Amino acid sequence: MVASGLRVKFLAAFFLLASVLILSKLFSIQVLKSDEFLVVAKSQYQTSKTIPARRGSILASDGFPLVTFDQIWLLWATVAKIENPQRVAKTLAPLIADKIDDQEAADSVKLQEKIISQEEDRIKKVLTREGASWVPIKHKIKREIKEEIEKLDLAGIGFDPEDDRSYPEGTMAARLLGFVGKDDAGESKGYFGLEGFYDLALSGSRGTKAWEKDAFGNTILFGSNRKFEAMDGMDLKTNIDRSVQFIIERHLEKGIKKYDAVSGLAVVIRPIDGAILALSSVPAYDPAKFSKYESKTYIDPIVGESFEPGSIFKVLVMAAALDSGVIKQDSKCDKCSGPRIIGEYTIDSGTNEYYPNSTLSEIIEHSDNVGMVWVSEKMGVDRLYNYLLKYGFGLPTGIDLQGEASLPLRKKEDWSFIDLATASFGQGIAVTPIQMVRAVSVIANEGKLPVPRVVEKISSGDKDEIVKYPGSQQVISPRAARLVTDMMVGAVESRSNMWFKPKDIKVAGKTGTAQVPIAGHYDPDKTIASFIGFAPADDPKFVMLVILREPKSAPWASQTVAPLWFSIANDLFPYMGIQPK
Amino acid sequence: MKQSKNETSKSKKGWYVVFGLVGAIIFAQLIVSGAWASKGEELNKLDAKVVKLAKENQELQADLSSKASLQELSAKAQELGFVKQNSIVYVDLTHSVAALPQNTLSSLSR
Repeated sequence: MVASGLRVKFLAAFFLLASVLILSKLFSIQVLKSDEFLVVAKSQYQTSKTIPARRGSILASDGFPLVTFDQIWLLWATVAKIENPQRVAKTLAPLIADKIDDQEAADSVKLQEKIISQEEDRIKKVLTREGASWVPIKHKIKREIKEEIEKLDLAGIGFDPEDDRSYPEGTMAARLLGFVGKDDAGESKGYFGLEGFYDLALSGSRGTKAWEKDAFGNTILFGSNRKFEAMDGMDLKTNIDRSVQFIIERHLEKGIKKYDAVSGLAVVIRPIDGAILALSSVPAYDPAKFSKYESKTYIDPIVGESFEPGSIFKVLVMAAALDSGVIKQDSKCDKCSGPRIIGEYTIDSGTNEYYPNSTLSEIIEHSDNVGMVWVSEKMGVDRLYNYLLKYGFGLPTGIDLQGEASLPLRKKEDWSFIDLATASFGQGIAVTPIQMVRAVSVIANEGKLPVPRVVEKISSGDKDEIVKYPGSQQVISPRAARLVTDMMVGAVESRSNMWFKPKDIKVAGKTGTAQVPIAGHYDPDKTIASFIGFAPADDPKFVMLVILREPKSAPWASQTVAPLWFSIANDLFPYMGIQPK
Repeated sequence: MKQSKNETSKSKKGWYVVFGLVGAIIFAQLIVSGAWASKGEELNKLDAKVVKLAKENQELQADLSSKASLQELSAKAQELGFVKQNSIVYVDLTHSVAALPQNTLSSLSR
């Protein structure tokens, strides 16, 4: 009995001690280290992921995507499962190595072999990295390559989806669109053009999802699940007409070759509201491979670079003079019989031909510098300066593209008579092509200055929001605009033997051959040839500026860029339904 | 004594009911949990399918865009032998372009 009592007591003491130990352990786990274990427990049954936001597309006016998103893949490897890194590297390298663009180059085969060999070494290094269990091998793998690799059935090789920008029309409107790169934090960010200007709207915002999972990793339906949906980026519907864009790009490329120019650009704008129908500068870059180009090529010269406009500027000065009333429709130049001497400078006609008693139309037809000096003399610095400001010079146009240059006009007080005289024929004044085409839209738009606009609507899901722009401002009277239009029509008709256009379609236009300023003087060999015009002259559907930089085949714009302008216009007439009257 | 026996029997029945109910609830929970547990897997599969279909849709859209691009159409047109029209004839709609000769008109009216 005694022994039995002892055993009971011993057992009771043992259970008591065990209970105390268990309780103290429970106290330690559940109270003292509760936070720590809570985290460990949660990591076992809770999981979360970021839901990426899709970047918005950029659409042409017909809804066709100029930029959209593409599914690409990250190729990765689980190092422990790779049995033979050398063999895997040798197999993958030919598939994922960069392909050289110029397949016809004499040493292209050797060069490609070298690239593959370098890629093989790189992959091998990645696969044999010490202490790594998972390694990314290459980003931006296309679907076709992924499928080829999958067929090889390599152990330890896998793919994760990534989003990329896709350009269905290739390099079309590259500088207008801009590109998407990475910022300092490694996040996607739009640069230049529309991608840069509308980066916030295009980016959207990421979402998150947190949920409880069971031992197999499946979602527990009645667990604690939270989801914040991602907001995809908005789509931009532009005014860009891709057919017009296609036409101008094709002609520009041909024109640059034909006239042996360094580069060229063209802008087509609808004068009534400033909608940009097409905008291109050649040579451009490939936005899908932007990193392979020099950063200076990213800037669109149409908005980001200035030039001296030369004679195309004359129509603006003439319109301002007529509007201000300092000259009348029937005024005649009484100082046009020879060169003008202003201080130490002599201003001649450029061709050594002079036209005494020229009418205003004749001054424009002959592109008479001396005649324009007479017009500017009538106006004076104050008046001309104010008109320049009203035409929008000296300030950015407000176009919705990133990278627009701001070119302030020199202070009015600093203008001397020679500045006034040279400005009248577009010398000594710097403008951007977009400023110029906008200012000439005033003549085509009954005297009203439009705000150039690329994007018409921003769409998110089913909702469309029309982008609001400031309204047009009256700069000159409709009468002054009509008078200058007639002069421009006369200028085109007077040289109609130099280019082809349908007989009964009225085109208003003006050529300009400007010199290139270098280090305080003008380069005697280099010119910038330009032509600006609109059609039909009595109800303009488009205003177009075409510029060729340093054409070598002929010295005058009438021999190079003007025929190019008309070759583009002749394609645009039937497309836009413009018929002879 | 009889009353106390009855009370004991009643109390036993009470316990049976309680245990029965608890058992039934536990059993039901097991059944429901089992059923919903497989739904979790189903949900995951559906989620994966949604993602896959979205990606396929994306890829098809990209294919469609690339095939309908002007660059592609232009290349195709050239390949098929289409040539650009260089001499456009504009029709003057103010005059009839298919008028019958005057004598035919007069013979018809007769």
